[in-house]
Amino acid sequence: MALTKISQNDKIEVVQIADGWSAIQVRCAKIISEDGVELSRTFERHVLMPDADLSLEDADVVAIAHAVFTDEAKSAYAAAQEAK
Amino acid sequence: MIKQQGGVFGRNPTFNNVGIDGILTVDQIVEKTASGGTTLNGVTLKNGNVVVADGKGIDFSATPGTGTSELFADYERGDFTPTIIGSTAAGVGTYSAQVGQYTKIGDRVFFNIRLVWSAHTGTGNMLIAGLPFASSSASGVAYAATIGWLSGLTLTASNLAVAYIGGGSTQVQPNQYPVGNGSAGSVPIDTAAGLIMSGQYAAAY
Repeated sequence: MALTKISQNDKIEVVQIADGWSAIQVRCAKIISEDGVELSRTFERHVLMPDADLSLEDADVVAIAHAVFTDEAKSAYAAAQEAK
Repeated sequence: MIKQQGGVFGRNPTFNNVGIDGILTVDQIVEKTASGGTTLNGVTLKNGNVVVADGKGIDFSATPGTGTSELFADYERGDFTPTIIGSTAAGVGTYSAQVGQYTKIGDRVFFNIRLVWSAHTGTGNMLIAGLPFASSSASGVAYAATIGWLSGLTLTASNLAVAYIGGGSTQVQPNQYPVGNGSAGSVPIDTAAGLIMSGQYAAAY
């Protein structure tokens, strides 16, 4: 009878918020299993904007962020924030 | 039991059409072709879940209505980590309570937050960051949040705390509003305070 707990990003979504920039929505699933049989699954979410600090993100998220958060996207996001 | 001319079919009979006046009990219904689907007048699940393919849902378009979308395609609940930040310098704080929960029904995100912080280093106006989904950025949208409890947050005299979420955002913007009259203004960040808040908004998609 072995209990295991794993955390994995089971959903990484790129959502266009406005022209020129998108956000990345990350859902992390925390899965507890006993002898390979899943007992529970809970979710924790966070969202990354183009100016996000990626230093604490998992490699799969960072890879997508590098593709999505281009210099143009960062500029468009900064301009949108400035306009607010 | 399905009979033909008084006899009983073998293990794998094939029918073109079958009419049943009574009850048909089966262990499993399997779609025969990829395009055919299964049409039923009603379904009762005894002990199981309906599992919907990614991006699919319940289509209510056969019902009266004028909405632009009648597809109920999402339900989810979980946690997030709300964080107090300053608008000028985000800063960091020490939290004795830092709880965020959400339920997403369709495009609508319902959330509640409880925060108690101290020794915060942020400067400028107070923001609550970390909402679980980005809000819709449709033109002109904004969403109200309700503050149910405050402790130690310094407001201008005779002001009430209010809050909203702007379009295309993952932050709650607390404001203060003069009792009786006046315009809402920002709330300066406090080094130590606490709040309980709930709200809802439409997620971007």
